[in-house]
Amino acid sequence: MSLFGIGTMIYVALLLINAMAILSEDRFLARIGWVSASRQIRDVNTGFQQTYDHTNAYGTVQGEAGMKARLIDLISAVRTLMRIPLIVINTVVILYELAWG
Amino acid sequence: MSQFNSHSPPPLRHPVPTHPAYIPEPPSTPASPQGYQRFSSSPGPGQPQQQQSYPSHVPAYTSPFQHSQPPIPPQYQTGMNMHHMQPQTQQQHPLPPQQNAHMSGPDYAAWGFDGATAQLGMQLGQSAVAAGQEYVQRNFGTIIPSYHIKHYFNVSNSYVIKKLRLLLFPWMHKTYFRRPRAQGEWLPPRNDINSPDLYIPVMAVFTYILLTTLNSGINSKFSPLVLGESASRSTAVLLLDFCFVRLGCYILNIQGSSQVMDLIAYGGYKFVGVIFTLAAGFLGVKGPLWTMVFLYAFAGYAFFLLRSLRAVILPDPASVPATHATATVTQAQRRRRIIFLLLEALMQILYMGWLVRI
Repeated sequence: MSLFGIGTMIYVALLLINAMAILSEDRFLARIGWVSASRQIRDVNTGFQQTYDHTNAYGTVQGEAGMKARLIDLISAVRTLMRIPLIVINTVVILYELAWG
Repeated sequence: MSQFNSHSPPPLRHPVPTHPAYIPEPPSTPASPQGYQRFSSSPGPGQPQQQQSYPSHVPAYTSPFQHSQPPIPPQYQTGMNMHHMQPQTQQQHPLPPQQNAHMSGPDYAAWGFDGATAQLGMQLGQSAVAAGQEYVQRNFGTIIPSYHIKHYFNVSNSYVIKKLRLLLFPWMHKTYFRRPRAQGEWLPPRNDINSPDLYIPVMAVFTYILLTTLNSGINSKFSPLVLGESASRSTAVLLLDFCFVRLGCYILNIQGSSQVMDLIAYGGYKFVGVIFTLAAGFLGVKGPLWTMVFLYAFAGYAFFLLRSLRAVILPDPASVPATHATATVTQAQRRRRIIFLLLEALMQILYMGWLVRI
């Protein structure tokens, strides 16, 4: 009856976050153009006043680019922020599965 | 005793005057040669406080000792000795020896350390516990703000009835915008029917869990696992719904007053429709008629959700103050948000269909 409880949901969320964290920025995301815009611009001319151009570029396009930029930001945030916690959580889950799974 | 209780000292004073020597006083005073001592000690100006503090100390004193050693001969004897010392010293100064006897508790010696150390330790312990409680309250208070939670439970009977009617028959309701009380504050649910509350979702979730258990009991398949399974399922649905809306709000760059509790409350209202369908099933509605009931419940909830989340996702340009540049929503963005809203409303049929399939 219960094919999908809260435990399954936690597993699914963990696997999804793992999948997001595993994406390599240099090898995969840059190839399909999913690099965060700040990094792209920083490559062109390394400066601080990039933010204005950045928002202007977004203000003009705004639609698809907005969503895409949000997604890219989300992925990079997950990759940056969740790296250390994911190691711990994955270890705990693996040990649990080894013992009682 | 009642007057003693009314004048009972604050809890910080408890460890200080723990004094077992005071207990055997009534039997011993007649034996003491100074009869006037007893008489003068009770109505004196300084004495009533001591007298008052003594009975209220008795439970505080006896309980730890019953823990440590149920028969208490040693300190009882020391107490008697202390007491026999007491009247002689009281002849010169009535008050200071009393305090002295209070301060230097011989009972701590029975525990293995002197009174000052014990008092220091107990005060340290109490302050540590108080600091810990304050720490917990401060840190978890930021995660789950208690004031906001209380705001969501501020309901009345008429509000609950009206809201349930609105949830089941949302077709005739005109406006779904909440009314602000002040700048940045909303009216509580008691005064505003469009305000989301948490009372109905919480009760609905519990009712749903009990109904699934009742169903399995009717089919004589009851086991305590059913409770946990349905609770886990309803929690999973709530979390999934909330995460979906939150992710959509993030990707679509929707900045609004979409608070966590609001979204959870809106998601929790789906249990009302689910319970409606389950009740119809219990009443013997079967087959296509039951499907019709389910579809009606879904349609009602989806309509309600569309109208309610519209205030969150598509803020009215007139109502939103034009201070933020992000408040201006372009046409493409607006279309995308409407699509997201429709998708969210249509996804409810999955959640509800999963919930009613018990």
